[in-house]
Amino acid sequence: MTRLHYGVAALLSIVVGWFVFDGVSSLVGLPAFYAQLGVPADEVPWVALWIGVIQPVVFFLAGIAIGHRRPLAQFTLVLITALAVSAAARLTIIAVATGSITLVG
Amino acid sequence: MARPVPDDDAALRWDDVDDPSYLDPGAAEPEPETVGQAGDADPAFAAATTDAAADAPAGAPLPAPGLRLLTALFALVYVLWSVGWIIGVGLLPISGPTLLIEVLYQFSEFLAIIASALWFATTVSLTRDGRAPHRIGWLALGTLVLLPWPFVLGVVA
Repeated sequence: MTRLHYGVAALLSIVVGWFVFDGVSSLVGLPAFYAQLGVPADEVPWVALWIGVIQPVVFFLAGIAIGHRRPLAQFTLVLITALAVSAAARLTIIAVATGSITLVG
Repeated sequence: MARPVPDDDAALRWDDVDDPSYLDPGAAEPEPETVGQAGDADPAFAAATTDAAADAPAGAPLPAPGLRLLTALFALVYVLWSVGWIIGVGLLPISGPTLLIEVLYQFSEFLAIIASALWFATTVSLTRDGRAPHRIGWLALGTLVLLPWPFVLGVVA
């Protein structure tokens, strides 16, 4: 990996950081929201919440592992794809969590 | 051959401009294309060039018709997945409490919509050297990873 590879990875890791921050916010905020609604703690989708925190890092590291020997353009493409997959996974988790809210409500 | 400017020391050197093997040190190196064009007149050289051209695809093989057909089929699936994500994102009741978070949510939704196209483009780009099992495997994995669950759950609901 060249310095440019590291630079691109550092730049795109900002987006990963935001995804993780959003996941942590849900991990902290959703149980409190459930508690306000009077929903029992065992109804909280802990697995989905923890996946939401971990998956952006996992996808990004997988992208680095796949693309680190590639030219810069392909490396960047792989990392952006990893971010996009992470965003899709995040929406999937939200869809599942929204379904659980509907079922509980 | 054009003779170089005569000089008084010519008799003291071993070079001879009338010798076919003489190379003028002041002249530029011949272009590779010039050499190739000159060699084309030689049948043996032309045959060797043709053989080399025939061997070239072995180093960088073109995609087989079957692989191209499968890639096209996967492209169709990925287009459908993108449409599914566009509809699915519209079904999700997501809104940010602040303008900044709302913008970030919109960006995230945009990324999710283009994820299928990006996966397809990345896979094709990284498997351009003709490794068919790798390309088909990664494209098949992408159809599973990027299944538009918001749309599927919306339809099921």
